[in-house]
Amino acid sequence: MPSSRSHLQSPVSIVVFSIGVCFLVLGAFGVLADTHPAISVSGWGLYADRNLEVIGVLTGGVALLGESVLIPAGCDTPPTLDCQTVYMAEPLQEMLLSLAAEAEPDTVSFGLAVTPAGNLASGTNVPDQTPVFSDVYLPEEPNSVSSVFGIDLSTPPQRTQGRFISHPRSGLEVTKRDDLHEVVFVAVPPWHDASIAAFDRAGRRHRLETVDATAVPDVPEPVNI
Amino acid sequence: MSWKDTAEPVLVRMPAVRKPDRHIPFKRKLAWTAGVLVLYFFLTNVMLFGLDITRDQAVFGRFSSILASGQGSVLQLGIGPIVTASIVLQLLGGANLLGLDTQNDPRDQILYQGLQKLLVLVMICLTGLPMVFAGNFLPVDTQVAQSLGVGIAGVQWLIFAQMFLGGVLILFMDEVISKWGVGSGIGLFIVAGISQRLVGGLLTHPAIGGQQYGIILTWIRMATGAVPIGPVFSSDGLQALLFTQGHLLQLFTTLLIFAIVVYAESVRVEIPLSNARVKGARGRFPVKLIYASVLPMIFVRAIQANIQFLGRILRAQLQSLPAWLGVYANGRPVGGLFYYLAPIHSPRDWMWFLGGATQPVWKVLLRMGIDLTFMISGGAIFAVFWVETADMGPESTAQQIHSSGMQIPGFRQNVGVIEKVLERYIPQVTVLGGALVGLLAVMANMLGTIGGVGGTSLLLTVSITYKLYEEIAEEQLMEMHPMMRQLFG
Repeated sequence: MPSSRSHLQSPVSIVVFSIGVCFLVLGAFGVLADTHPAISVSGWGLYADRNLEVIGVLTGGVALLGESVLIPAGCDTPPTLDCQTVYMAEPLQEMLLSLAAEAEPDTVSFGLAVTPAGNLASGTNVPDQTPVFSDVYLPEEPNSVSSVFGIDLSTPPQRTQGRFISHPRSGLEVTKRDDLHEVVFVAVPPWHDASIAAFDRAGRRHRLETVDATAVPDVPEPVNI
Repeated sequence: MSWKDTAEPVLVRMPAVRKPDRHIPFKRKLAWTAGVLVLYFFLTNVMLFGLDITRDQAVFGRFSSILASGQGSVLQLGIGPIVTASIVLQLLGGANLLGLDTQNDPRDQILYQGLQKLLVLVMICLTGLPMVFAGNFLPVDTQVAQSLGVGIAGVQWLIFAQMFLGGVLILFMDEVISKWGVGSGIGLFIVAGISQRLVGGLLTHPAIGGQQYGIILTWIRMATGAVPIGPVFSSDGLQALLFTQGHLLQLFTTLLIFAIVVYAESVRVEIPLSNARVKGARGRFPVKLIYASVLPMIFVRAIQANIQFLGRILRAQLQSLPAWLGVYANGRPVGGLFYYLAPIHSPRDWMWFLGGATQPVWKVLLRMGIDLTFMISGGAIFAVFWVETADMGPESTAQQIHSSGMQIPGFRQNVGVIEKVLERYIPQVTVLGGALVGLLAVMANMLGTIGGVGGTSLLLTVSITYKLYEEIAEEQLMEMHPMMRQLFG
């Protein structure tokens, strides 16, 4: 998908832009009718006509601005995930399976984020730009803000592309009870490499490949302890 | 015998909405949510019987939108009692004064839920009774009192009974949404109330009960010459377009605050984590910029309201209030200490160049400065207060990270160590977030917003809508109608 836009793409922007053009044309026609004696019809008064023109230009401007500001130009960044093959870093898979095993018989649900393969520590045989699932977000726990408003407002919307769900009692498939995501990883007992699979939102299975690569840990600056 | 044993017979018998015993299909969740929403809007239009609507005063003022209250309706109290009860419980629980272990003990969980409900009923009485019986906020229609033959006091009790019923209804409507619907009732009612005001500000018409024309209708009337503003590019025309009839400033402020909030919602500090047993596994713990949400603003605004309340009491009690303390005109402070401490509610309170404020410019500027300082520093202080008191600070977060088996890379796996590292992030983020929320709230009030919704309300609405969007988009997409699925990507 191209990252720059040469024309309006959102239906809302097109409608708003069209309304702006209509106002501008009406205003221009009104000015012409009011100022040109040869035209027998009169406009809406010169002030009103000019105001219509200004509103038309402003409305069109808002449509253009909205298109460039509200719709991110780089919809394709980060790179779109391959719908057929999904890559996951091996240490992450190992950790997720061990966390799921510890939580049994309860289920776990973690958000997962990707890193381009080129940014991973050791060399892999996948192209540098390929997104590899490498990071886990700690699950949201109810806190005092969510207790007051009934909805968790202190946890930011997560920039995650996938979700890991454990199914200690049901099968290796996506169910209607699951938290869904762009890519859903489902794991079942006995929590081995073969007991994890990746699916899309509709429950169609992806091919899952593990990448023998470790993510470089971000180490915070040392503190005096 | 502890308070738990004494209160248990009452608390466990508090009526509750039954939990669904199996998975609810998304369509049914939406149906419950829509049904309760319709009921909410319906109830905001059921006016209190016996109330003299012509003398009715806005009790909460600009706060009514954040409390989702319907002025003069049976939902006069809105979600105020629920929010207040939750805040009180969180503070008591955070200070460990309740002695309830809601994480591990099922009995304590039931007691906590019963206590919360009981406290909501208490709050309904504590907020409702003074509103009806003191301050003349809800004046009684004397004709109703005469025709019923119960006197003024009798009608006042009747009004309170209706408000009490409305408060109980909204409590259970919230519970229905939480258990059978999407998101939470509190969030839904806040978003519904504020969206209603935003749409009203844009589209209202005197024929449908609005006091004036909405912004869009005003523009159409200006364009057709029904509202004369003169040439657009003259100073009078621009002033009319921006500040008075055109309300362009309101529109820009609303859009600007909306954009800032959407941006600030996604700003976070991500604390890197690693796993103690699996080498190379990496995790993250995000701390949001607006960590304490709008709770600090609720405290700051409550303090400001109480200071003004004190001013009114002093004025009523003392025969003549010293001029340095307060000079009042039409019940509002126009000079003295209480004038400088009064929060700015609208552009009319300070835009001297439009003839809004009659005080000298330096006084207006001083009041603006004090309001700005109060809100920004108050926002920061109360954000820290909330985070520290209600278990969101470094200590409890460190405990959460530690119990999940994670550690901070480069440091020992020890709660104390994690806490030390978190102390470098959480307090700073909390202070910045609290100050930003304060700034946004003042900015919205000073410049004005569409429909008169405050900055705090806008901020809360955007946050809640974003979360609802996430919940709908991420969780139950598979069951959606194809059109909805397309909408959510």
